[in-house]
Amino acid sequence: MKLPFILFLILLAMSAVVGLVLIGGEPGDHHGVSHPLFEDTMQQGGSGPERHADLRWLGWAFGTLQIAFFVGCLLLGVQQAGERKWPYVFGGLLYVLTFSLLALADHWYVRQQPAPLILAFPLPTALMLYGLWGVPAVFILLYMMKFDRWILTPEDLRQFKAMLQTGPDQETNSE
Amino acid sequence: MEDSGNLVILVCIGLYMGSCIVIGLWAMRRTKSSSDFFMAGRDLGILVTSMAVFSSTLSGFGFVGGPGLVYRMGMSSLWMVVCSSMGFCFSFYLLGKRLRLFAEARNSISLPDVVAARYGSELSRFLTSVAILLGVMAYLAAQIKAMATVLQDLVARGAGMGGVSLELCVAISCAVLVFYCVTGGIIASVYTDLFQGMIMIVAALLVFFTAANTIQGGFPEMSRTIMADDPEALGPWGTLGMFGCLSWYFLFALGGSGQPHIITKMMMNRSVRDARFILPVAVLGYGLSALLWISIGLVMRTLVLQGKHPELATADAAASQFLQAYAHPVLAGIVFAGLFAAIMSTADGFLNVGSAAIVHDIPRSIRGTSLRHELLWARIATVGLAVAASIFSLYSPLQLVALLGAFGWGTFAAAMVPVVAIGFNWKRATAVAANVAIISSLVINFAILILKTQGIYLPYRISGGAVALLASLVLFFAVSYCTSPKQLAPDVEAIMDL
Repeated sequence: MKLPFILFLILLAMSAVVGLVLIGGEPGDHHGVSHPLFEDTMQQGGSGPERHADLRWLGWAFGTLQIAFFVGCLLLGVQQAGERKWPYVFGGLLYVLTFSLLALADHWYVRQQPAPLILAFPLPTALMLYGLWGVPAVFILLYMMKFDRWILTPEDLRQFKAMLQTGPDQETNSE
Repeated sequence: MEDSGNLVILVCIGLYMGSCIVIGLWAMRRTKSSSDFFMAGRDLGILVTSMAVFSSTLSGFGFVGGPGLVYRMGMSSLWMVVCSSMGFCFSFYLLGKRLRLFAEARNSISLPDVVAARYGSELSRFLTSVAILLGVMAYLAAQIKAMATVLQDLVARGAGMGGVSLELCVAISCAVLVFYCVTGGIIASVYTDLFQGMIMIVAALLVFFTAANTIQGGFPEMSRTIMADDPEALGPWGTLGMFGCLSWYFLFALGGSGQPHIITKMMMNRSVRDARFILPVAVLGYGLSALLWISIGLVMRTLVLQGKHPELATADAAASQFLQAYAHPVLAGIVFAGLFAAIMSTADGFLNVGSAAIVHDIPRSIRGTSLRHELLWARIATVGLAVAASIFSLYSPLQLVALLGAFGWGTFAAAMVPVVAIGFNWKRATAVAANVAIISSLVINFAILILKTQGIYLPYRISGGAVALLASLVLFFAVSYCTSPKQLAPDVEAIMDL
């Protein structure tokens, strides 16, 4: 199956998840409530841990599908992606693992107060800040180190320059 | 803060604006053609391009709205920040090479130029230009309003200055912006971006360490205080909840590759191979600047909860209150200069892509040629666009201007991500699909904007922009599979095969 078609299927799955959530509607104050003391400017988390109880799996699916889409799209920009997909697959799995751990840790976080802090934040928040922000460093490093072989080879660049010098037919098929 | 403190801040802002004017004059000597005006002669180095890309991404919202959201919602808005590393990867993997090669092969000076080349469609060029123009007007008005409001507040609190009208503040701040954009075009824009990006990084680092020292016990103590009040606020989803946060993550990770004022800068670097170094520098610069977003919001929420600071009048006042009450006047001056830098570095990009749409792309899509004396008309269009956006920002309801800022980002994302980021890497994508994606993005974003003005929001506060982006992506793929692609021009096909 070709990569663009896989991306299309991922988008359809994401649409299904979002559609389910939109059709189901929001039962209560799940997007937060006014703070009892500072009601004009500050919010609190609404109906506590229950607010995510029915949504946790759908939320996990939405986040995981997003990551699959992001990483799949990166491969669109890599030459001969079929042969070079594995570093991206592993990077993507690390990304999904981090997100899954975040979702799992969040499940226990509110029930175990006061939660221990890791690098100044509770575990699920630390996984978001340091994990999700940090994992794409894998793809940045791959881009930097493999640019000449996987993104644009010197031979490709020479071909491109030669094409410019020989003056290709630049007629477009305007509508 | 004492009046003298406010004077120090105004002096810092004055120095900053003076520097922008000097850069504008310097850039004017290097601007000799419309290619220089719109594309900087495609001769930018790694550092300049990196800083231009990141500083255009982090607008004034990151310096005012961001800390305000952390104060109001806890960790929710940080999903807009943590997606940045993936977002920059997305932009560079999909566009870093292709946009630059298209620009060189076709001598393109705007995003609609390369869209027309890729799809072989003048209708696609026209729709892209219209989407850009609508988004630019909406976003630019929000930026100008923010800049003038901050300036008015600062001048009002300056020593013995009394109040000044918002109109005057709009005139002052726009005059500087328009001056360097008109004289030096994109060259002035990117070199002021370099200067502005450096100010933003320095300001953010200073604020981060000041915030950590404001509370005894630093960030761990802030976490304990916020958690004791409401554990959800310090959890990963903040007070907004899981779906709202994940919809922001989707919109902002992908959306960056659809922002024309950002991605056109990927067409300006000297060598396509520089992209591999521009990516990490841009990610690092953005990450450092975002420390301000996180730290001010957390420290102000903590101070208010601990009863050490009175409740804020509005959540967006978090940054200015922190700087007035807890920062040294010189630091406050640097940060306020950083705020103006953040706003201007985004606004100048808008002026540039907006004026290109008016004088280059829309005439070409209708008449087949650009205007004569394009450079002169580009300068006139820049002034006209700034004046129109200023009037719009002054005489529209405040809530509408804020909503239009969000509309601008969502429109750019939903219209451009499928057409540019995906379409430039997938030969099967068709012009019909591109046009459908652009039209659907405008329709859905307008519909959501109208609902918001009526106080109607999506369940769980799912971002309307994210829904519009998802819909336009699905339509783009579906229509591409249902329609026959036209034969690509040989040079376009050659570039897409690279």
